[in-house]
Amino acid sequence: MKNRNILLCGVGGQGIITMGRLIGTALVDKGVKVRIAEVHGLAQRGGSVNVHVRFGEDVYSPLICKGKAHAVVALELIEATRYLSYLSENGILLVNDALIPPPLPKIKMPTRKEILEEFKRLNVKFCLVDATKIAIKAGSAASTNVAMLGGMLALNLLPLTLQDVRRSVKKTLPSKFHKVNLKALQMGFEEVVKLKKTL
Amino acid sequence: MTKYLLAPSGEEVLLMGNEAIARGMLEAGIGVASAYPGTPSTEIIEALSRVAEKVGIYVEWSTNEKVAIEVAIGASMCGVRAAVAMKHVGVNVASDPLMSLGYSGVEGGLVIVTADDPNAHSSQNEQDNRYYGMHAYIPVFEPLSPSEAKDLTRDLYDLSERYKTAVFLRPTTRVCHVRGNVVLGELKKPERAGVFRRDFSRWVLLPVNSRRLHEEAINRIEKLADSLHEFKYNFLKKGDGSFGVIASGIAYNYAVEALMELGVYDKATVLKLTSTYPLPRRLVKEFFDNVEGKVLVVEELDPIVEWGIKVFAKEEGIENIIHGKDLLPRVRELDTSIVASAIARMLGKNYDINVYYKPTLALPPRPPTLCPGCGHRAAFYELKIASAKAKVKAVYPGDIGCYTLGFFPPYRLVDISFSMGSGLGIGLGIAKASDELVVATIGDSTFFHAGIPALINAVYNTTPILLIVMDNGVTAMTGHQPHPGSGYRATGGTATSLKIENIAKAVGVEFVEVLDPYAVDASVKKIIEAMEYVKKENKPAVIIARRPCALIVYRRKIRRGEKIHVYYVDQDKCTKCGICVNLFACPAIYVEESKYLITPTLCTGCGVCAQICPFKAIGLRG
Repeated sequence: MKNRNILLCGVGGQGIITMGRLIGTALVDKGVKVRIAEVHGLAQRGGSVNVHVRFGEDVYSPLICKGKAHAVVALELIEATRYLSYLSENGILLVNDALIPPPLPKIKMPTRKEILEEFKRLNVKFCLVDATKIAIKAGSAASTNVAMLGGMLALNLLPLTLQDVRRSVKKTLPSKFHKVNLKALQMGFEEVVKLKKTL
Repeated sequence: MTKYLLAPSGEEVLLMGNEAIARGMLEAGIGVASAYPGTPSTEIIEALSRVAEKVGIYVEWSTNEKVAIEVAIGASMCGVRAAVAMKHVGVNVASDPLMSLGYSGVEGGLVIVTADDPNAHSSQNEQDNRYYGMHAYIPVFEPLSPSEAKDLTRDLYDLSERYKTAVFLRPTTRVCHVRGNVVLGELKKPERAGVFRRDFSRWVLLPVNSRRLHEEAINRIEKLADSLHEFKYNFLKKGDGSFGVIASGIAYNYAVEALMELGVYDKATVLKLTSTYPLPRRLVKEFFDNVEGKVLVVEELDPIVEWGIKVFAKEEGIENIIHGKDLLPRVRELDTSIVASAIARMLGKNYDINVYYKPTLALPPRPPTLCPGCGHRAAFYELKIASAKAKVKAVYPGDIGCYTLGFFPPYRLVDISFSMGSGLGIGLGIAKASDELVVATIGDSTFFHAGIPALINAVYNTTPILLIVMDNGVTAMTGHQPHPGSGYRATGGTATSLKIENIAKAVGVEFVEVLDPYAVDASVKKIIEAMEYVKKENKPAVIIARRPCALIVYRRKIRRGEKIHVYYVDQDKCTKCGICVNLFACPAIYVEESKYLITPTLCTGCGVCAQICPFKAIGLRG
C-alpha cells in the first residue's frame, strides 16, 4: 500500500486522540503499518489539537509535512482553517459544522459564513457534516469524533470497513460507551454517503 | 491499555512509544520503577503502575526526579533491575546523584529514560540531554519508533549489566507520543528479592575511590565504543558511494523518507545510529570506507553526533566533506521536508515545499486553557481583585503546572516561569533586591517537588513574600498522578496525606491560611489580609487555595451518573458588562450576537461566575 497521510484536528477535549487510537487499532488488526503522532500535556482541555495519522509500507516518519495530507479531518471550523496548509493538492477536507470560540477576552472571531467562503475561495474539496448533531441524535455529543470517523469511511479515506471500526470501538472504548458510539459511527457514515454526492 | 501491556508474546498491537518502553521493561524483568511525572515521559511509569501488582513489581511516583533516580540506584545496588523515567529537564534535578552513578556504575541493570522534547511542546526549553551522557560517562541510546523502543529497552538491561553501567534511553516526544505497531515479546518474571551488595570501593565516593572510579568510568565507555559496531540497533546500508547520510534516533525516519522522496535512497550510504554516545567507532570507519563523496549528519537539536564524527574523521585522516548543522536547523524538530531540503542542497538538487492552500482569514489563537470549574481560575481572579482592592502593584512569580496558564489574558498573573519551584526562589531575590511586594504562585505537586527548601529559606532569612499554593490534590497537568498530599500511591491504596499547611507551619511560617477558591468574597478578603501581613511584618505568609481538580470531580460525577447542576444567564438581568468573559474567562461562557450565554455541556456547576456577576444575572438552571 502506498503511504497515506491524514491529519486530524480540533479542540482539546473533542476526542481527537481517541479517534487516532480507533483508526490505529483497526489498521494494526489488518496488518497495516501505522504511525500516529500526538501531543500531550500542558493542559488537558481547550487548546488546538492535531493528530498525524500515517499508514502504508514505507511509513517511517510519524509527522505529515505541509502540503502532504491526503485528507484533513477537522472537528471544528477554525481548526480546519488553521491546518488547511497541510492539505495536498486536491486533498479532501472533512469538517464538522461546529464553531467553537476560544475563551479569550476581546478577540475577533471569524463567522461560519466567512470560513466556508474561504474554503470556496481556495477551491478546497470539502465535505461539511454536522457530526455533533448526529452524535446527539445517537445519544451523546461526546461521540462527535466517532460520527466523524463514520464519515471518513464513507469518503473511503481509510482501507477499513464499518465492521473493522466497530471491532476497534469495542476493543478500545469502555463497554458502556459501545452502543452510543456504534450508532454514531453508522449514522455518520450514512450522512456522509448522502453528502458525498455534493463534493 | 493494561490488557495490551500484558498481552502474550507474538501478538501485534498498537502501543504508544511510552507504553512500548514500559513493555520492554517488563520483558527485561525489572523489579523496581520510579519517576516524577513530566511530559513526554509520564505514561511509562503510569503504564507500569497499572500492572505492578499483577506482575509483582514495585512502582512509585517519587517526590522529584532526584529522589526517583536514587530509589532506582538503591534497587540496582541490590542487584535488582530498575527503571527511572523523567522528562529532559527532570535530569537537571537528578543530575547530582547521576554524576556519581557515572563513576560507580551499577549492579542490577539500570535504564534511565530521558524523554527529550525538541520543539518544547510542553517544556521550558529544548535542552539536548545527550550532553548528560557525555558528562556522566553514561552511554546514550536513541530509539526511532515504539517498536524499536520496546526491543531496545529490553536489550539495554543486558548491556547495562554486562558493562556494569547505567544507560540512558533517550526517546523524544515523537517517539514517546507516537503510536505504532509493536510485536510483543516474552514477559520475564521480575526479580525482586534483592540483597544489598556492599562494595566500599564503588559505593563510597570519597576522593580515594573517586579518582580511581573516574578512570574506570572512562575505560568503560572506551570499551563500549569498541564493541558497539556489533550492537544490532546500529546498522549500515551501503549505496553507490557517491554520498552518505548519518542519522540518529527519530531523525533516521525523516532521512529515509527524504531520500526516497528525492529518489536517491539506493545511491545513499546510510549509517543508522542508535548509540549516539559513545559512537560505534568501527562502524563509523566502515561507513567512511564506503563513501567517497559528501556526508550529511542528520540529528535533532545540537550537533553532538556531528562533532563526534568530525573529531573521529580528523583522527583517522578521513577527508570527506561533512555537513550537519550548516544545512539543518539546531532548534525545534526536524521533519521529512526539512531533511529533504538539506540533502537536496548538499547534492545541488532542487526541492520545493509546496503549500497548496493558504487561508488569509485572520484566525484567533487557541492556547490551552484552564478547564471550566478549575479552582486555579477562581484563585487567579481573586488574586487580581485582591491586588486591585488592596491597591498593590505586586510582582507575580509563577511556577510549572496547569496554573502556568495564569500567564494568559485576562489573568496575566505569571511574571516569571523558569523551572520547578523557581518562582518562589526567584521571588525571594526580588523581595530582597527591591521594594516590590512579591506574590508567588505554586502548585501542590511542585511545592513538594522543589518548593519546600525555598520556603524554609524565606523563613530563615525573613523574606517578605506571599506564597499562594494552588492545591488541587494531584499532579494535574501530566494526567492526575498522585503526590505526597494526595492520600494514595501510584498503585492505588491509601497513603499518608501530607498537609501543606502543616508543613508551612512546621518550618516556621506564622501566617498560614487555607481558603476555598469557590468562595470568592472570603478568598479575596484572606488574600488582602495576607498581603497586609507581609507588608507590615516583613515576613513570609502562605495561603493554600484548595479545591480538588475540577476535571477529576466532573469525571467522577459522570461515572456515578450524578446530575451536573449547570448555570445559565438570565437575559433580562444581564447588562452585558462583560466581567464574566473579560475578567473571569471560563470556557463555558461565550458571547453570541452580543448575548452572554453558558454552554450547558461545558458548565461544571462550580457557581463562581454567579458570585462574580455584579447584577446577579447568573443562576442555577431549575
